[in-house]
Amino acid sequence: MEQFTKNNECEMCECEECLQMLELFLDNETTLEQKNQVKFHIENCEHCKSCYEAEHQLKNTIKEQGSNKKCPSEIMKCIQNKIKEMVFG
Amino acid sequence: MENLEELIVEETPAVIINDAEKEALFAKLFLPLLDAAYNFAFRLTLNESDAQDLVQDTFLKAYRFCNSFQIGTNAKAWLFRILKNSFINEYRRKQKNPSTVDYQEIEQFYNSDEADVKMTTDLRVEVLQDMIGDEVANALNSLDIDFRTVIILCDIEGFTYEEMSKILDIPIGTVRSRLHRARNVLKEKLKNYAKKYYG
Repeated sequence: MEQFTKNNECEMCECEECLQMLELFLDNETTLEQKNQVKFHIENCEHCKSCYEAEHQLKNTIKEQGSNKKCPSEIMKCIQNKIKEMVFG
Repeated sequence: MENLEELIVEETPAVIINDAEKEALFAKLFLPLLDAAYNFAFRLTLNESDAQDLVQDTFLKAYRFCNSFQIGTNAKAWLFRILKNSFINEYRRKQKNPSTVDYQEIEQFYNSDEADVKMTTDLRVEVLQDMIGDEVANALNSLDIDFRTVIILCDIEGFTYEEMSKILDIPIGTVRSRLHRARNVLKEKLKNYAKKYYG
């Protein structure tokens, strides 16, 4: 009975629930049941799908723009030299 | 302020390994993480020179306390926790312009339902696609350090909430709510930016 009621919730409620879970969904922190629920909803709701796409794009852009710093090669040598000093010094 | 040495030693029983084993463990588990650690250090300090000092400091501490690392657990999370603590202890107080923003007030506002609804529904994919430069990175860099940190750990480094909870020494619920608030602030900044430059 409970399940029946849930399936007949109004569209607004479903959207609200979906949007609340979107962040956890994108961070891969939902349960399998929640994951399927979100997937099913965004496949069938244009509004929530576009919200999902925006959030997904933001997450990807953050990763692209925020992971471009490479450590200068002399730092590795510095660390290794200091460790040698610690061991032998 | 917590003491890193005590924290690590208290938590995990020391395993006696010789210097050669220690060096091998360090070279295998931690040195390959240098670029990731440097990127994290840079995103925290926003300065190449401070990031270099912070990353060296972190790796030397990691080497000294290698014995306390439990093999089989997450080496990257262990290293990042040392880095984060070193940053808080030694670098944060050095910053010339400490944040004067009322953090509590911001947290409360962005945690309200009103802010949530508004910001989860009107950020569009087109807005983000228009941002071809470093706008997102710049907006991220302008966030309060606690907000910036959770976004870096989650979206750039791909840590789970549980790992983040250990790195930051905060409950998982706090990770989740801080991340949510941080993203709302970031989205608001991007929207203002888009309005200003793209109309």
